Amino acid sequence: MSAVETAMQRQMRALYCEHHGWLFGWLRRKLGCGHHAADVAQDTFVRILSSRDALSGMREPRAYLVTTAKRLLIDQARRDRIEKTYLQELALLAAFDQSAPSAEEIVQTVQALVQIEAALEGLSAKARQAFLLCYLEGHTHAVAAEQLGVSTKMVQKYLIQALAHCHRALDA
Amino acid sequence: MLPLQDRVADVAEQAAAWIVLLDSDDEAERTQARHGFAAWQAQDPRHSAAAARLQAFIGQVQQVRDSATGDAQAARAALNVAQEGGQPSLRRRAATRVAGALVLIAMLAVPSWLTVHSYPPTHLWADLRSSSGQWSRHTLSDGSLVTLSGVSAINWRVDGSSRVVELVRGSILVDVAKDAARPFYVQTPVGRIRALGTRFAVTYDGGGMTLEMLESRVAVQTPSQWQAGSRDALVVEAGQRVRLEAAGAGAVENMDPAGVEQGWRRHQLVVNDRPLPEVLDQLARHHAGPLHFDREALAPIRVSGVLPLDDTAQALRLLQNNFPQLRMRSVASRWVWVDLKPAS
Repeated sequence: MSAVETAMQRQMRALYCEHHGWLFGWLRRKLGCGHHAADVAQDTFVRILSSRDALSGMREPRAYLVTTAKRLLIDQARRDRIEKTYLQELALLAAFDQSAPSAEEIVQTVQALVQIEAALEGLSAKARQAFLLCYLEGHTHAVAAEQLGVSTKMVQKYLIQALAHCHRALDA
Repeated sequence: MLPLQDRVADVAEQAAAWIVLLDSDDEAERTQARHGFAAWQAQDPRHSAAAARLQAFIGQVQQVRDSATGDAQAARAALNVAQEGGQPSLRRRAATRVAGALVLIAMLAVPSWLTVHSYPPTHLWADLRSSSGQWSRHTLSDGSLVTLSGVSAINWRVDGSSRVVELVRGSILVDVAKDAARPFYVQTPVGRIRALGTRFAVTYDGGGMTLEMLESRVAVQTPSQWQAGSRDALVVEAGQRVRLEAAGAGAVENMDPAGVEQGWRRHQLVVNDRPLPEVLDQLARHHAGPLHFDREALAPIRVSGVLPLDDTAQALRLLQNNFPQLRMRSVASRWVWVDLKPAS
């Protein structure tokens, strides 16, 4: 077992040594910022290591690294947008004296929101609204129906669509 | 021909339909749905698995609403922006609030680690999963509570005669809801714990499984015992701890249940005279990068103490201070290798 670990370590180290400099250069050209490029390059290797198919992309290592880095940048952009809006909205509420959450609570909520967003991606707008009204905001089916201007039965149909969609997303 | 795919999609949709009806505004429809849902779940373990997965997901969504930060409106706005992919609009409330808001945005400018920290890919909800640095609490469909710590994963099955948590990997704290008719099992490849209503922690690291009893008692069986339908079992009481491996159960040892409880509450690992590789297995599940170590060379080192699980770098420093013979090498503080210093 330790022999296997050593082999994998060796392989990862080789990948890192051979391609880290190249990936960093590619990212720096693309992002125009050395610090950000260094962070993303590092995170790319960490993501590959923590993914289940860690060594499956090793035949075309550079293409694999670029795909992983691009996906990471898209995820980061989405995360940043969610985080920024959430903080702005909280700030608006705090102006009305509601207690400010701790940094840790904010991190947890933002992380949960990122995951919810990933599960809802690709769902139709109406089904998405129905899902958020009922499960995130806790409205009854009737209230959601009124807000969406459809029948209660239709809301239920949207919710079923939304949940089935999330089930597929969670499986992926 | 896609019979398998069709079936999976079917099951997910049926589960979704039941779950939606459970929340119907109409009371008669709700009651009817509760009975229908129970019968449907009992038909096939895949039914209850699909339902459990969706309910866990809904639980996560509701937790955002219920958490201390819990403003659903802020959460909703964030999700809407994510979908539009554009800049947030300050919307109608803004006019009256914006002056105070500008100051508070600056005050809320959370520490920089919040924005630079990156999270592992989102595969949280396979049945129930948590990732490194994460502690998550779930209510199962029978009312039992499960807390997952670090990279942990469980599968959940329930039918008319039993409730089964399959611990795939990691550490869980279980608060079993009382149900005399349906025993509650926690199962791994090396053993099975049977409980009625009690509280305990289980860790499975691939090599073996550790049970720590906090309240009441459970019966533990090895795979060969339960497969043979044997009535023989090891009874473990509150304040006791036992490790099971493929070779069977180790000796039952005494431990301090209050210390273990506190560890779960404060996100600490409380160990008393355990081999270092067992401790490193636990730290690895909380470390934000890969942590490798020389299992064989480190096995003779025994560890006692309390280690912070939310700060694995600090935990590793503590180990290094206590065991100068260790050699720790790291790349960018995420990849860590631990072995012994070469003899000089």
